[in-house]
Amino acid sequence: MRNLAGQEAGVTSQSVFGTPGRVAGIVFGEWEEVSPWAPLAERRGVPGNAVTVYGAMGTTNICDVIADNGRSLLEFVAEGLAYHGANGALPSSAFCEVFVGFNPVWAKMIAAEYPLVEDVQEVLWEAASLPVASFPAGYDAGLVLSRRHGDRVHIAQSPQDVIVTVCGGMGNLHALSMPSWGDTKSVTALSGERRSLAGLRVLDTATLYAGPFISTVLADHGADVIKIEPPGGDSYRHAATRMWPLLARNKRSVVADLRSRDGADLVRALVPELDVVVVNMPDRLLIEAGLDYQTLGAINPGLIYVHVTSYGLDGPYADRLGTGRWARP
Amino acid sequence: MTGAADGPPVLASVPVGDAVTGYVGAFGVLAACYHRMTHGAGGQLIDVNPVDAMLQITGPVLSQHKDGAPPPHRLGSRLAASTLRGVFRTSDDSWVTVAASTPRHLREIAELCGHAEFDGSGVPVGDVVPRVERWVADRKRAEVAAAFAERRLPIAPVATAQDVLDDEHLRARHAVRYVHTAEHGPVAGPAPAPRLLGSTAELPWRTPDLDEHGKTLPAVRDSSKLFS
Repeated sequence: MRNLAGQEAGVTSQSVFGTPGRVAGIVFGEWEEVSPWAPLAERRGVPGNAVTVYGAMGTTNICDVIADNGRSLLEFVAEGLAYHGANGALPSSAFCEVFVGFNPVWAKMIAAEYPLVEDVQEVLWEAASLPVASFPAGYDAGLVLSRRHGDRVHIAQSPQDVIVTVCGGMGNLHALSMPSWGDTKSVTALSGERRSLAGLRVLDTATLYAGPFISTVLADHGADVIKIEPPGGDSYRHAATRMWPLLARNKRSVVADLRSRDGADLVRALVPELDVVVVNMPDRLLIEAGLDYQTLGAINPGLIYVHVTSYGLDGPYADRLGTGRWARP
Repeated sequence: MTGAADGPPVLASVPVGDAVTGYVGAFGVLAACYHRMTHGAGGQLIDVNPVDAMLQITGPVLSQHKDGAPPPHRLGSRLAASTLRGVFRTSDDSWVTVAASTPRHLREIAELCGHAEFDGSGVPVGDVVPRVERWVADRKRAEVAAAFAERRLPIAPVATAQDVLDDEHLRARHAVRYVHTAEHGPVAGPAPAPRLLGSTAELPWRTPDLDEHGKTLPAVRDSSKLFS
């Protein structure tokens, strides 16, 4: 094998020197809804959607076809966790973990006897051990010492280092285990995007302060805002009032002349991609340019169209000007 | 409603209406997003304007107004129901805000400032404001603040922009952020409000160069891939 999981053996990856196979990543989801115990992320104090990253050996399957109670099943599984060649059991002198995934059927059976996951960890940890005497000479003094309790060497330093989760389908035959890779510990963190409005696509065609400030507030919370600027730039861009940074922070800039056919075409081309468009031109000019709500809403029925005017969209003052650089006598 | 009772109406020297309208508009966007997401609605037209927005700010003036009575008038720095609420100049040419929110505040501020006459229940008789004005005018800002603080009476120095930048509380909370701009260099501005503690993000805190993202314009025309 020359190329393993994108790595060239002996060149970009040293790990392939010592292991006959390499897996770049194993991804599986904890079935939180059916788990009798609090999900792993919650136990670790991470709210919301979370990912746990764990440097591990490959998965080991543990099969049991006769277990009918929690304790005997846990002890049987634990014996499968502790074996001499496992990375955690062998060279991890500082710290290590072992990951155990139970199918929901087994989890339910175990939880009937052990409603607290801490007790499950305790039983597994206690049973997942090997006699010191079973290690070849040379292992007994140094490498395995930190996990030695009495005359036995445990798979990890403490019960907290046994990570218990519920995953897989509704079968009742298998558990999976993964000893950690040497001195390494898993990390659980919020997954993906931390900006609350990330993914919200906003087109800001507005001018002056009030209209553009709408999407500034949205951009503050992660919305993807494109600000359309007229050729030469927004009137605030160079203004001595220094309002520009208050209005344009965290937006993107695209120059387009909305009074031209090309500029209006550009907006219409973007509309299918948009969640929100903000305008502050008078209705009459919007209709002329084909940028009114009727036109854009027909292109994208999900479009949220924010029309900023001076006095509101109806009533006796509706046509009075007061905002918008297009204001013409 | 802004301005001294016997003076002309005064406009604010910052565009309050625009900022309030911006927040009202952002709220409208989020409400429409929620409606679309949760109730299966489509998009919609949102009517945002400074009149509706600023009516929220002037709500108390409308609610205080009674048919047939003269409409509420300017009160300087006071609220309609307050007897002591104002801004006073100190001897070192600074300003402090003093406001009595409870009967104890009013009684003890009046005592501190040398007001002599109180009724049976300890309420000062007559106007205490001139007393407070004179007492504050004879003292430096730090002295005034210390005397109030010692008696657990509310006082707040009127902050300049520099005071805001230097304030230890605001600094600790990073309430002021610097926006990096090609046109003006780094410029101070407010941090995002409100703070979403579960999803706060460090953003690229800068303004775009002119047409910085317009380079993808041909692609937009062809395939609407500006957002990617």
